[in-house]
Formats: sequence, structure tokens, C-alpha cells
Amino acid sequence: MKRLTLLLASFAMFLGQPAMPQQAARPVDRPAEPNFVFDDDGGKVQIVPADLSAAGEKKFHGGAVMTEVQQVSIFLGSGWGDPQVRARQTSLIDVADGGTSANVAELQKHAVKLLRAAPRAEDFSDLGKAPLNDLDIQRKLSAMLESKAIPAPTASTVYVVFLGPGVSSTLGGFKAGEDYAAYHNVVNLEAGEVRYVVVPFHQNSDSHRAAAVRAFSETALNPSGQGWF
Amino acid sequence: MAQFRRMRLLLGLILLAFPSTLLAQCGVERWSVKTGTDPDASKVNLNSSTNTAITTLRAIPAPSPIPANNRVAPTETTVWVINATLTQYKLENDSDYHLVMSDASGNTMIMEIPSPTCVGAGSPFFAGIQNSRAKFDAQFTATTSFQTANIPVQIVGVGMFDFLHGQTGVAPNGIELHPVLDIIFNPGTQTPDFILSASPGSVSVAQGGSGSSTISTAAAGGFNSAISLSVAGLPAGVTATLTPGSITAPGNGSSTLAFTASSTAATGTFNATVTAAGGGITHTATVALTIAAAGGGGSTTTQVLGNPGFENGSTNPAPWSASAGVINNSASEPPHGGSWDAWMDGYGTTHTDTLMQQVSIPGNATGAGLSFWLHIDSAETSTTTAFDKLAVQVRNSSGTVLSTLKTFSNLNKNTGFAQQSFDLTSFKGQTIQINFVGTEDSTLQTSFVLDDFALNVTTPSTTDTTPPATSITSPVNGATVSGTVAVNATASDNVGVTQMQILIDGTLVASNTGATALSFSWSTPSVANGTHTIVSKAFDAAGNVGTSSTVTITVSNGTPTTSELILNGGFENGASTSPWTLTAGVINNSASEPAHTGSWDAWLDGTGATHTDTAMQQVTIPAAATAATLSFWLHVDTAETTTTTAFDKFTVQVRDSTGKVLSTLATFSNLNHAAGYQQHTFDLTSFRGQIVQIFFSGVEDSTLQTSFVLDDVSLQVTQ
Repeated sequence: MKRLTLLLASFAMFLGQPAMPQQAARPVDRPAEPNFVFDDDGGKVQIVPADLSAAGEKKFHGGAVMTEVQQVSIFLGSGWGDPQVRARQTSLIDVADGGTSANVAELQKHAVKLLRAAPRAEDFSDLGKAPLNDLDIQRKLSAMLESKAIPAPTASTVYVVFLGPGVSSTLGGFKAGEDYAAYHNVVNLEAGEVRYVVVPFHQNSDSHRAAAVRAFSETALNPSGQGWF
Repeated sequence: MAQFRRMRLLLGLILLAFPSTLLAQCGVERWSVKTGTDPDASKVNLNSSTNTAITTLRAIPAPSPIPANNRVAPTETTVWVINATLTQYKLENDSDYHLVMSDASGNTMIMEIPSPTCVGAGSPFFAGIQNSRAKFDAQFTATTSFQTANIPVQIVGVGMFDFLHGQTGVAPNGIELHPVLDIIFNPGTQTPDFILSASPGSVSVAQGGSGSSTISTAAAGGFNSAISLSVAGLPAGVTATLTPGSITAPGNGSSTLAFTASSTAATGTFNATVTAAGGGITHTATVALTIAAAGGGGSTTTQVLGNPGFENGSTNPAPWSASAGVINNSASEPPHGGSWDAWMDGYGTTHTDTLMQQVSIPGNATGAGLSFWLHIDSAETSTTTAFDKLAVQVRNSSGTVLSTLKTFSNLNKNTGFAQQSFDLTSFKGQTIQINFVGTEDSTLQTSFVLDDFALNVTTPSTTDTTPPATSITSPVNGATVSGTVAVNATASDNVGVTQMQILIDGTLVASNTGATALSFSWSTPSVANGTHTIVSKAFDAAGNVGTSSTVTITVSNGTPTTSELILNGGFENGASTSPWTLTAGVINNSASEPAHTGSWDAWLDGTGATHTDTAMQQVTIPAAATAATLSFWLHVDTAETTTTTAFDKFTVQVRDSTGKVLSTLATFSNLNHAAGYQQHTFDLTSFRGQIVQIFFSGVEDSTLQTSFVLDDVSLQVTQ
């Protein structure tokens, strides 16, 4: 009997603790720069807004630009196992290939060399129904690097993580589809500095690719997140 | 009191029982350093701290690169104390409390308090993190939005360089205090003080012998000063030393009070008064010193139990073995002395807790007295029935009960601690286990709280002046080593070895009690290449210390080399397929299924009829391998039209040399058909030291062909 009382009391205390991220109201904090949000450990992250037409003008405020970039695509989630969905990978594995979009032109304007994309990696694990936040993405990248499922990062590597259909994404207190269509971030792991883009699934394949190419180009032009907004 | 116990344990149970959406998230980047589970965490001296200022820390150049899982000394191995103003705070999604601290000039830096649920086992910072988190929660409620504050605080925390990500309030060099170990709000308004304690509080020494007690101090209320120690009230013929003679600021630490009695020292019981003074405050503690008449030629009394007051905390209870949740520092059951105790039972349900330490009592012991302090509280109301019990046992080293010294129960409940004593002299010459078993019945809790043990063993001092002999048995002197090395030491003594130690380059890396062998797993990549020295030390009850010959070794962790184990991995030997074992017709150079590279590939299946093809090569993965990665290129084409059913399958397995399947790495099917080749990689490091078969199998059903075309198979090993 006492144990039940104790358990319930403990659980009540647990629930009464400062709200966990999943329970909290969405934060009002945003950095001053447009199209930036705070991520899950308090850093600034540049997003591609959910409304792709609301791109806005960006100005260069200084800082390093990557001299060359190579896309390493990672397809996460069981939804990619569907052959029809998987067929879309072909248009995503080298988003800068073709060089016709404004974002690619911007890369060329800043003399960013586009390397041929590296082979894709696929992980069709069932990721469940819980939202995948940026810390989950970092842990996944760390595990894939440790198992050598993806190549180790170089100065030019940008891992582009494509989430499969049915996988919801959050970043800080923000939600994919409502607040952003993609984002780019950096994490320092045992393998080194890891630059990555996260692209939640979009039903419209053109919008899907457009979000990816924009986040990819912003990674190259604004790798430290402080030079271009 | 007891119904609030073991919150952490229960929280763990609750977290297991509820959906993951309620779970706190933990961070990733430098997380081991931020929470103290990195390999350098032990280099942080928690018994010492350094006063500093925000401007001073901001002026330290940021290291480059910042190591992912190691510390940058001295900034990240120092406990810093800063007085500043808390201006903003927020609960981050990685469960950290993100605090922005500012000095009078507006210079800011970040200090973070991780969630205790995100601190891994073994972190020396756990107690401090738990403490600072509780103190912060008592003052503020952090949410996922920044809130402003304007309150003076004193923060104690470990330095940590974070990567610059545009964090709010970040210092230009990224320096943070992370984790925070203590936080004092309005430090000027609290009365700084410290607590003085002695353990054991009574010491018995025979004429001509020696004995000791541990003197501990704990700062409170923002106290931050060195504390000097002295002892008085000694009888004639007795001298005492305090090592060290003072505790460094902020006032947390311990000192060994060692008594030495001459052969003519006055006999009787005396109160030795320890005086501690610092920061304008003075406290005293009394140690009851009994000088006994010598049994001819003098004797030595030594306290032989390790960690007698459990002050090593819950993460490092050794040499005690305790069931989960026993080692306790909650205020619900405060200790007799220091900060920690052993709290057995108290659940109010059917439960058993155990606590045990193994010791050796020398064969020449003339006395062996076990004492400890015991507090019992109980919700039982019976005055006649012992529902919940604590058995005090002596067992042999195999766990067989030699004697039950006493059984306490709820009938013995008391308001404070009472000291219990037992004579163990009859067990001299044996290695025994001091064992406690607390059993609770199905209702009404009884808590058995134990603290401040002593097992004082008296041996004739004139009969043992021989130090133990000890030696390093591996590695051998002059050896060149790399990777993880087993360091082994042995010891022997004419009376008995009470403690062993292994020291590398003069630093203690391992110790035990009551054993004649000691091993240490040394990760040599953590030290510089070059020569290093290893010695072992062995102690006996008489205080003799034996030191081994110095073993000098050379650490040489060279650049890892990678080699290829698969031969003819691209099948370019054509019809000469060795060392592959293949079914007929698999080797292919037709244009129908072109190779990934070169001219040849292995084309499994593609018949459109019931058929099985295999390809196998046996390899030996070296035991010294640090990585073993299998990769191959696979092209799948098919005449199947289904998008849901795997009719034809291609399986990748690791088998042992007899063909027994050790692991199925992957299964592909007609559903994986694609226009070109795709590379697949698998980690085989776990198979190092084994002879294994890399086995590919293609199984086709009765109709509609699927071709599995394999090329450029590679198994690269790094060592």
C-alpha cells in the first residue's frame, strides 16, 4: 500500500517538475535574425521557412563560406522502404546537380565548388510516432559514424538527412511543416565537426527538393550560422 | 521521512513505465564532459576550488580543437567559484538549466545545470549536480522560454569550453561552468559556516602502537576559506599528526589524524580535541582515545575497513558491495557523520537489502573490534513482534555464514544513532565478509541506517617489521605496449596484506583491500607515447609498506594501419575463383549484368525458377583489430512487379568456420531493385579474434527472375 502511495507521490512530483520540453508551451524566444530559431541545446539555427515563397532577402554579414561541398544523403525511416517513395530519392541524392535553381546559382556566385554527391545511406528502421528532435538527429549521426554506416566528415561534407513520410520533426519548440521546411546545423562529435541538413518529408516532391537545395546552399554559405541572414 | 526515499530509483521505474514522450532528453555534443562521464573526469579535484571572475575566464584562449570526450587542463579540470549576478535562465530541450551570469561590467558567460537523470553512472559530479539542481528549483521555475532575474549568486562549477553556436549569453571563448555543482543565492545574506566531524569518534591504541581517525570538513552557506586543523588534549607519551594540516578553500575535505603511543604512554581513555579554524569561525570535535597497556613489547591498532563512512558516495561504494539504493545522502535519513550513510530497507513492502565488505584479519591479531553507528526508525507499532530485521553476520570468503553476531529489528527503533560493537578476534587469520542483511515484510517500513564503521585490528608491533613483498607481474620491464594493457600485481606478507595499490607515473590508478592480487586495465592511448613507469605497493596491518621494483615500459600507439582481408573481392580472377566458394555459374562477365568495376562480378540467381546461389569466403579477423568493416556493391534487378512482397531474397551472413550462422547482417529482395549498384557496409568488429565465413545467399522462387549482382566485396581491418 505504501509503495503505491510512494509511487504516485513520486510520479506527481515528477509531473510537477519544471515542464519537460514535450509538455511545455511553445517558446516565444527567437533570435533577432529572421529565419533563425534556437535549437534543443540553446544554439542558433538557420531554418528554411515552411512557406518557401517567404524566403526574403539575405545579406552577407561576414564569416567563412565553405570552399567546396559534397552531399552525403541519409534516408531515415521505414517510409522510404516503399518503392514509390523510394523512387523519389533519385531527385534528392544530389540536390545541387543541374545547377539551375537560384540557390545553386548563389553557390556558384560565391565560388563554392560542388563535388559529386557521395553514395547515399539508407536506414529504414521504424522510428515510431514520437517526434524526432535535433538531439535525436545528432545521436543518429553519431551512431552512424561510429558504425561507419556513413563516411567520416571532411571539410566539405554536408550530411543531408531526409526523413521519411510519417516521421515528424521538431527543433527547439518548433515543428516541421508549420515553422520550417528544413534546417541546417552543426555538431562536434568524436569523428569531428559534422555539418548537416534535416529535410522533413514533403508530399509535394518539388517543394521537398526545393527545401533541401535551399538548406544545403545555406549550409555552404553560412556554415557557422552567423554570416548570412 | 521514509516515504520520500529513493526518489531517483523510483523515477527510473516510472520512466520505464510511461511513454517516451514524457522522458527528458539529454544532450549530445561534449555530453560526457558536461556531465562527468568522460575518461578525464577523475582529473577534476573536487576537494579543491579556485575563486575567479567572469572576465578572467573569458580571457582564457579557447583551445583548438576542442576534444569531443576529453578535458583541456587546467581550465576543464578545475572547480571554479564565481560571484556574479544571474540575469536569465531557461530550461533547454536537452534538459539543462541554461543560466546567463553577468558581472558588474555586463560581461556574461553561461553556466549550466544538467538534469540528474541525464548524468551517467560513475560521474563524480552527480551529487553536486543533484544539489545545485535542487537549490535552483527551490528558488526558480525554469521553463522553455528565457526568464529574467537580477539576483546575486555564488556558483561553484567545473570549467568547460563549448562550441560557439550563438548561444544566449555565451562568452567569446565559449567558456562555461558546466556542470554547476553548487549555487548559493544572495550569498552575502547567509551565514557562512562549516561542519567538522571525526570518524571513528573513538580510537584504541596499545602502548607502543598507533591508530587513526579521519577528520572531515564540509562548507555550508557560502563558506569559502581554508581551514587549519590542530589537535590537543593528548596524554603523556602520545603524539598526533594531522595530514594534511589544513583543508583548502572552500573548505571541503578530509585529513588523517594519526596517533602514536610510546611504550610508556599513560593508559586510560582521554579526549583528544581537534580544533578547526577558518574564515573567522572555529569548531571542535572530540576523539575518544584509549591507551591500552601493551601486551609485552607494544602493539599497533589499525582500522582496516575501506570507505568506512560511505563518503565515496553512491557511484563508488567500493570496497563495499551494496544492493541498489543503499548508499544514501538524502536528508530523509541523515548520516551520523559526513554526508553519506547506508540506508537499508525503508520501503514498507517485502524487500531485502544487503551490504558487505570483505577484509582480512591478520593471524597475529591480538584484538579485532568491529563498531558502527546504527539508527533504526520504523512505522511498525508492535512492541512484541520483530517484523523487519537486520542481521549482522560474519561470512567466509565464499559467503558461508560463520556467525550471526546480532539481529536487530523494528523493536530496536531509536531516535538517534547508537554505536554497536562486536569482538571479531576469533576470526584472526581469516578473510571474512562483514555482511548485513535487512529484510522487510509486506507492510509498514523499517529503516536501518548504518554509518561510520571501524574494524580496529590490534597486532603486536614488535613482531612485524617486515614489509610485504610485491611485484608487477605484467607487463614486463622493458616491454613496448599499445592499446589497452592489463597491469597485474601480486603481493605477499608474513602476516597479511591489508591493501594493494598500482601507481603509473607516480599516480595511484587502482587499489583494493584484503587481497594479494590487483589488476588494472590501462588504456594507453590516453597517455603520451614514450616511457612510463609502473610500481605496486602493498601494506600490512602494522603499517609496513612494500614497493615493487619499477617496471619501465614504452607506450607506442602508432598510426592505425588498415588491411584488406577479402581476396579477389572484385572477382577479377575470372574462372580462378579461389578463395571464394561459389555455386556454378555465379562468376560472370557477360554484358547482361555488367560489373560495378572491372570485368567480372558474382551474379546470383536470375533464373526465374526455384534456385539458390551462394558465395562464401572464409577469413580470420585479427584479435587486435580496432575496426572491421565489410562492404560490397549490390545491384538488384527483377521481373517481379509487386511493391509489397519479397519473393526472391539475398541474405548476407557471418558464419563460423563450421557454417553455423553467427549473424544475419541484412536481407535484400526484389523490393530493393534499383537501376545501378548500391554500396552496403557493416561493422564486423565484434567478430575480431574469430575465423568467420562471409556468406552470401540468393534464393529465388518459382517464377519471375530476380538477379542479385555482387561486386567489389571488401573487409577492411584496422589495427
